[in-house]
Amino acid sequence: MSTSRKTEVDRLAEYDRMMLRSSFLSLFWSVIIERRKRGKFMLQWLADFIGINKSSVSRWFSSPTPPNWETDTLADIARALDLELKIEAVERSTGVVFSASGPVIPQTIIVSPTPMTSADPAPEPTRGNGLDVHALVASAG
Amino acid sequence: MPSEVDDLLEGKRLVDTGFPETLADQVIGRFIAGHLIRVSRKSKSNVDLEQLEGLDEIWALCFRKPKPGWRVFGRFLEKDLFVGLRAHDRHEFGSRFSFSGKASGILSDWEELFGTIPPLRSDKLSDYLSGVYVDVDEPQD
Repeated sequence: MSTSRKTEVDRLAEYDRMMLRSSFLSLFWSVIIERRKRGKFMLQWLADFIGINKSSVSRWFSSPTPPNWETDTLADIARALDLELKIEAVERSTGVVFSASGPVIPQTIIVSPTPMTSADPAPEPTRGNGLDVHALVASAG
Repeated sequence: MPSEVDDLLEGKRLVDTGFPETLADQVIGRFIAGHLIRVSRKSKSNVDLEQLEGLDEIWALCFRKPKPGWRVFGRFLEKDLFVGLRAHDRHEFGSRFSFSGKASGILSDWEELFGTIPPLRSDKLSDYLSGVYVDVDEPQD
């Protein structure tokens, strides 16, 4: 691997790290903004709940670079905001979505462009392939 | 963005500018992703996006790195659609108040690209941006 190539890889890795940090920061800020619309929400309250200075909390949302939170801090902020974090990952090469309990099977709804006739072979229903929905749609008319 | 600005950000200029720079990429990435950005319409410092006071709908994406800091100047065509037209480093315009001399170039670039189509104009920041942002002109707790 050439030096310039390594530099490009490093740059992309750093960008990915920054954007992941930014995702969490942005997520929490969007919750705070909504809470403020519903009523008073003070950063001081969040700081007190987590047990840190209010100035540190303010800095999270005002720094040019997003904070590099530890996982425990993410959990603490989520708890303070009464949030359940749902983690999903998308495999870039395939688009397959994974959750902490395994791959997420999409529930595809297949609509036949033409009405089914008795001559059509009966589909084989299997879990998660939407064939049950297909049969319902076809018989509805 | 025009190819000159693209080339600059990708580090393809013959003169070493310090690009590519992850912090600059990150500002653009956060803008595109709808993540938290800090915005001012009163030329406050330490923001990611600012509207230049006293000029006709000229905005700047602000990069603190590479040094001495760079600005991509442009206008909004529609909500969330910022057209970056020119990039300058801070050495080129000194204080933030001495940019007006370059503003006419931005306006002529716009006219060349869009003819009589006006830039987005609104009193409300929410008309320019969806996603998550901090309006630093509003008091924060």
